[in-house]
Parts: sequence; C-alpha cells; structure tokens
Amino acid sequence: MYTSTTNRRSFIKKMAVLSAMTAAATMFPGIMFAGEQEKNLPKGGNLDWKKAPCRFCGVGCGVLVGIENGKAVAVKGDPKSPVNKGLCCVKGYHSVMAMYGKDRLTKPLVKKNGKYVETSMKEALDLIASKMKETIKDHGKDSVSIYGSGQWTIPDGYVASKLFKGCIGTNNVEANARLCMASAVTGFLTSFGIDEPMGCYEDIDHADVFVLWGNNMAEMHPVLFSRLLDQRLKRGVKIIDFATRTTRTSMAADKSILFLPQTDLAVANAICYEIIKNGWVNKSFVEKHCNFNKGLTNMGYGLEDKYKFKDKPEKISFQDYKKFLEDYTPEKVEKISGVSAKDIKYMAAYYGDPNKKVMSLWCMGPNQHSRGTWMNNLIYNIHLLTGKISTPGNSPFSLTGQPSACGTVREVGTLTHKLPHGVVMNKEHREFAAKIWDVPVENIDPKPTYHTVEMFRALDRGDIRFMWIQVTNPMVTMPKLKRYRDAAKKEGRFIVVSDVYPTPTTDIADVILPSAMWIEREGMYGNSERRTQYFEQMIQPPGEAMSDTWQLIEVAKRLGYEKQFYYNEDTHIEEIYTEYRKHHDNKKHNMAPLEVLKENPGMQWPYVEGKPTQWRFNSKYDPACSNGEDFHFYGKKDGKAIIWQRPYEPAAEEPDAEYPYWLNTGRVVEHWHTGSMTRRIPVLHKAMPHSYVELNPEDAKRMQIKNGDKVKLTTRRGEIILPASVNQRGVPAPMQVFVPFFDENMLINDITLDSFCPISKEPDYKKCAVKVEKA
Amino acid sequence: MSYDKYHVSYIDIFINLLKIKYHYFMPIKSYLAHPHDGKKEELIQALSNLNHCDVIPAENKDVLVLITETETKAEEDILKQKLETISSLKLLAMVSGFNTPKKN
Repeated sequence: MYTSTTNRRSFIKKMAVLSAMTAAATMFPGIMFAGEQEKNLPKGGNLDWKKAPCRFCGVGCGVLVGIENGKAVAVKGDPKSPVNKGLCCVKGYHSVMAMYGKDRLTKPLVKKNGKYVETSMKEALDLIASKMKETIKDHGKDSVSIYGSGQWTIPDGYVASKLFKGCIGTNNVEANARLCMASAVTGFLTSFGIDEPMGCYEDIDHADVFVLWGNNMAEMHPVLFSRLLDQRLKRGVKIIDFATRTTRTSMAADKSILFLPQTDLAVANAICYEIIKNGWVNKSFVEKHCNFNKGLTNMGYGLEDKYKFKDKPEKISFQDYKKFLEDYTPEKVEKISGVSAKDIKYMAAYYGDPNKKVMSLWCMGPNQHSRGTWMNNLIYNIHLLTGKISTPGNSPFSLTGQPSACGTVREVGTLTHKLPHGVVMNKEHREFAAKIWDVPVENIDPKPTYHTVEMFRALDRGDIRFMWIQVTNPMVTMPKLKRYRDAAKKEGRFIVVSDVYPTPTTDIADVILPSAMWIEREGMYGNSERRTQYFEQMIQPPGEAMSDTWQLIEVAKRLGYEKQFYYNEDTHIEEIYTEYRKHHDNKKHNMAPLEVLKENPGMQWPYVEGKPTQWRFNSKYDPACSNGEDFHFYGKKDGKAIIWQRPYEPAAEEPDAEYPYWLNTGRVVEHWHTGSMTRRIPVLHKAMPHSYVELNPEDAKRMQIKNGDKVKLTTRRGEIILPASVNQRGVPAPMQVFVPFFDENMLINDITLDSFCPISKEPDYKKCAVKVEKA
Repeated sequence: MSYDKYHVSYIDIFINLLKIKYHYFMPIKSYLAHPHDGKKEELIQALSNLNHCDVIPAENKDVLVLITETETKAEEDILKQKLETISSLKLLAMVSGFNTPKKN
C-alpha cells in the first residue's frame, strides 16, 4: 500500500489518524477531513487527480484518485459530483488501498492433481474455451453458465450477456444482484412496468420527512445519510427509522419504530388503511393515473428444487381494495407487528399530510424478504394513494447496494430472463437484440432458465456442469451455503473464478483468473439514481491480471465468435458502450454518449436532447411522457401505475420451541460485502476484525452471556460459534440476533435458509429460526 | 442522543493494541475530542498550543481528531494532565494506542 516508502513510525502515526477518522466517520456519517486528506498526500510528487465513481456501494459517489508514478496513492471526494458533493465514507477514502493487498492474484492458476499451478493467461483462456466446448457438446448449451455481479462494469456484463445469450444461446446468465435487488426490480415492473427509481438524490434536498424502511443508512449508505442529517440541520426535516433492530440509523433518527420481522407487510397496509379512512387519498391522481390489482397469495417460499410460480394479476376496484384493508386497522396490526397503533397513525399522518413531502428509502430490508416484491408494491401503494411520487421531494426510492447493480445487472440485463432492452420471452425484444448482436434470432432462447439459487441447485443436480464466476464471492454469500459449496466440489463440475484476491470461491475453482480491478481498467458503473459514470484506466493491473471484459472477449473469440466480438483491444470499451447504447435508443432510456460521460461526473438516463431526466413519469421533467397529463406511467400500456392488494403472510421459517430466536444477517460500514477487498485495508480490518453476534441485552443477561463470550447459533442447517456483541453497535429486539456476513472465517450463511420471494426469486437473508446458547 | 457507547466500542476494538508492552517507547495515541457547544475553535487553539499534539478538526462536524506522540510514559502522563485542564474540552475518547520503538 502507499505507506511503503515511509518508515514504520510514520506509518503507525498514519494508522492512528486513520483509526480515529474511521471511528469518527462511523459516528458522524459524512464527516469530512478533506484538508487532512490533502495534507497527508506525498510531498513533492506530481499527483495527477482523475475522476471515477467509487468502487464500493451503489450510492455512486464521485471520487478523485491521486496517481503518482503509476500508482494510486490517494482518494478524495469529488466536489463536482452531485451525488456526494465532496464527501466520502471510510471505505471510499481507503478504496485505493484495496488494490495493493499482499496476496493480489497476479497469475492464472489451474488446478492440477488437487494443487494450483501457475500458468500463462493464454493457456488458461484456451483451457476455459475448450472446456466450454466440451461441456456444450456433452451436455448441451444449458449446461454452461455465468454468474457475475453488480460490481461488473457495464462492458463486462454486456459482453457476458452477448456471449451466453446471443452466441451460445443459453439464458444461464445471472448476477449476485439477484441476491440484493431482484425484489426492487419486480416491484418496479409490477407497479410501473419499467425498472428503476423515478426520482433522484436531489429529492433529499426537497423532502420534509424521510421514512427509512428497514434500511440502516448510517452504515450502508453513509454519504447519503449525511445528506439527510444535513437537511435536518438546515431545514428541520424529520427522519423516521422503521426497522427490526436498533442501529446507528435509529440513534440518529428523530423517531425509531421497531417492528417484528416480516410484519412490515401488515404495517404498510395499515398505513394505506389510515390514508383512506382519513380522506388523505389524492383522488384525482388515483383516478387519472392508477389501477388496482390483486395477485395470487400463499405462494410458498421456493424451498424445493425446480419451484415455479407465476402470478395471475386480476383487476379489482377501489372499493374491493378498501374492503381488503379492513383487516389492517392500526389496532389489528399492532397485535401482529408489535408497532403501536399510535406509531402507525404517526407514520400515516406524515404520508397523508398534503403539505409534507415524503421520501421513502429502502434497500435490503424490504428486498431480501420472502415477500420482497409485495413489500416494494406496498411502499409504492402509499405514495400512489397520496400522489406523492415523481415530484421533487416526493419519492419512493429503492437504494442499491453495489456500484453497478443498476447499470450492469438491471440495465444491461444480466439476469436469466432479461435482455439489454426487454426480456427473452418477447419475440420483438429478441429480434431487436439479435440484430444489434449480429446473431440469428433463433440463437436467443425464449425461455429463461435458472435464477441464482436455482442455478446453484442445478450445479448440485448436475444440470449445470460449467460455471464461470466473475467479481463475486458466492461461497460466502449464498444462503444455505453448505449445499452449494459441496455442489461445486462434485465430480464433473468445472468452475472458473475471475477475481482479484483468493476467496472461499477461488477455493472451489478449477481455473482462477486474475482480474484487473476498478481503475486498473476502463469502464462504467450505473448507480441507484440512474446515473452512468465513466472511469478511465489510470494504472496498470499487476502481473497478468486482465479485465473481466477482455477475458470474456478472448474466450468468445476462441469459441468462434470473432464476428460478434470484433472489438479492438485499445478501443473495445468505447466500441462496446457505443453498441450497447443502441439497445436503449429511445426517450424512455436513452444513455448519454461516452464523450458526455467523460466530461461530467456521470449523467442520468433517460438522456434526451442533451439533457438528463431527474424525475421520470412527470411531464414537467420527462420528455417520454406523451399522454398530455401531468403524469404518465408509460411503463404500462394504459399509462397507469398499479396499486396492489398484497396481504401479510408469515416468513418461511419462524421461531418455534426448538429454534426460538429470529436470525437476521447484514453488513457493517467498514466492510464491503464479503470483505475480500476491505479486509485487506489495514485500518478497516483493524476497526472491524471479525464477525460477531449481536444479542439483546436482556436475552444476554438471562443466558449469562457477556460481551465477547462465545455463543453457539444453531439452525436446521447447522451451527456456528461467534463472539457475543452486547450493547455495542446495534441492539436487536428481544428474541432476535444479528450477524454480519463479511467474515469468511465465520460463514453465517452456512446456517441461513434459501427461501426466496416467489416473484423476484431473491432470498430472504433477514429471517430464519435459530437457537442461541452460550458456547 | 448519546454516542458514548460507541466510544466504548472502539476502545474495545483496539484494546489489544493497548495491551502491547506498555513500558515500550514513544506511545502514539489517537483520540476523538468533543468540544463544548460553540467552543470548537477554542479547543483547536488550546490543543494546537500543546507540545506532542497534532490536531485535525473535522470540517463539517463538532469533533476533532487528536494525535499524541510522546517520548516516554512520564511525558505522556504530563500531557494527559494538561489535557484535563482544557475548559473547552467536553469529552476525550481514545480510539487507538500504539507503542513503537524509538528507532526503526
């Protein structure tokens, strides 16, 4: 890392400074020590500052990376970025250090006789291509698959989709965003017919009230949360934290309301009940712009292999909906949810007040939910009933977790059913994609294959024989992990892993490819607010490391697809982006040209006639609106959004006599996902060196468990021992425990459940039953 | 709202570092210094006037990072006494402590 030229003492002093800054940043989200950042920069150097989106979360902060002598040595927030306005969180400030861990993968490794042997990149790529050919010949095209991530750049995901869907002809393309954002996607599609938020971060500067639905923003989106806190200082806005556990967000909020796991469904319905009962419905908005639907219920939880579900939407009337909500009076819901009727009415009153602009924010809480699509629908219901949508400050806003979950997975469409524009099931969409990809339309299979959980189940069954995993670490993140780890090790499976460090996922690989990381290559990310951001290659990758994009292109050529993968090595990113833009060449989704991205701190789509669109579906701002009304929800054929009748249903596995606690899992501010990068940054690793289990203090006292004591957690999938955390960073409600998943040495997902939302197929990492004992 | 519990948490996290042989040389420690309301500038000034102290104020929050670097344990104790007399200092929470040899 960049302190290597200084002596040990100055390094330690810098560590002390960084430790304090990290502590401060976790207590005061968005805190700035920008002066210090600059003061500590190498003296006398010729620092060249280049802009990039941050490598880590989905907020998409603009950063400036200081380059000196071919090395990235410093980071500061980009004051020109409208996302973060010069702020950075602790991960962002230290992001360049993630590239300089001692055990960076620099050479391809091939497993031979149980041992990894260094080889050349050419030989490794040859092997991958021949293995793919052999697998397709022996087991058919649907026996090969690729599993990527929301950390894929846009070009990575685009060439992966083109190769697998367009050329090979299999829809075995998935990404880890299935594990975090799929419910948001299906929520958007079912309510509006088109994906991604209608609003933008500027809503924060206009809203009067923020309701955070199961969203620990202070740790997961600290820079955005600091913008909320800033607005409170300036304008006295209210922040309501609605969650199952007390967190730093709860501490900083004006009001913290706790609900029992899964019962957010009931509370959201109760808010709608109150809105209707009190006459707070924006009648003209609802009459002009909304329909009412109901769907199937008692859908199950996807626990069995080859589980299938298809919803059957059915139109209902407002009166039907009103009658349905009679089961959700605040008094009835209080008994289910543990939220007082008074608190439900308190939240409803803010949503219902025509003089208050309300922003709802959520991320993993409602998404990683066995009824995740429904939860997304229900939050939209509240905003649609009150007409508080698509206007500055009135904004239901689904946040993302990864830097390009939106840009790559959702927009490029690296999910089994998706194409860059549209879905594989639609003939016109297939024809459109095939033309741009220069492949016969018959190549694109009209049937989706496997969503992520099912893809790993197919690997276990032997339906999939070859899997290429890029930029993600499923051997830490998959729920009910042991099954899928064992699956990957079975005879007759061939696994390729492209990554920057050794991980539990590279442990199961037959071939490990060293990848170029972030600014070691050129690319683009797309963030939560539809902002596409470009970054140039600033430094050389180490050893033989190669971008994931070029790895895929090399293999595609070896498979015989030279015509489709015509790209020149020096200009391929530009060529790919230019080709990709053709898929979205319309007023609803046009992407800004590359030269615009290069000149600006990102640009929001739809980018029409030289302008980004901040608020979609609002004719004042969105040129795609064409119905002559103030609002046009053009994702639906009739231009109307849908208010869904969605009931409360229990979770797949709830506490019982044998397993009496709820187990919830999640993240911490110091670490990015599985920690494979941030745990190699000394200051972050030291600040959060290992995982733990948070207990409620009363539960801990009853079991005579003190902070640091060993605690055994047992579920129907297995057991794990973790140190206790009592009255520390987060405090779970009684009979609930929380465990972060960043620590590969304490794999909490070995004991989680692989239930998922039947519509989105996103697993519920927030709820299963667990037994808790002092170890 | 109180942040005290988090200070305790961070001290816990770095407790192992504090357990490094305490008689070793040249302790380097970092703290978060919280000023009394409206006294941030006064606190910056007071801390900056002390030897062995580096002060890094946050630009947008009422908190300062304080780094102390002393030669000996005795010198550190004297510095601590001086810190305790600063009237604009509301709370001093240690974040990390390192002891290093005098020479590399």
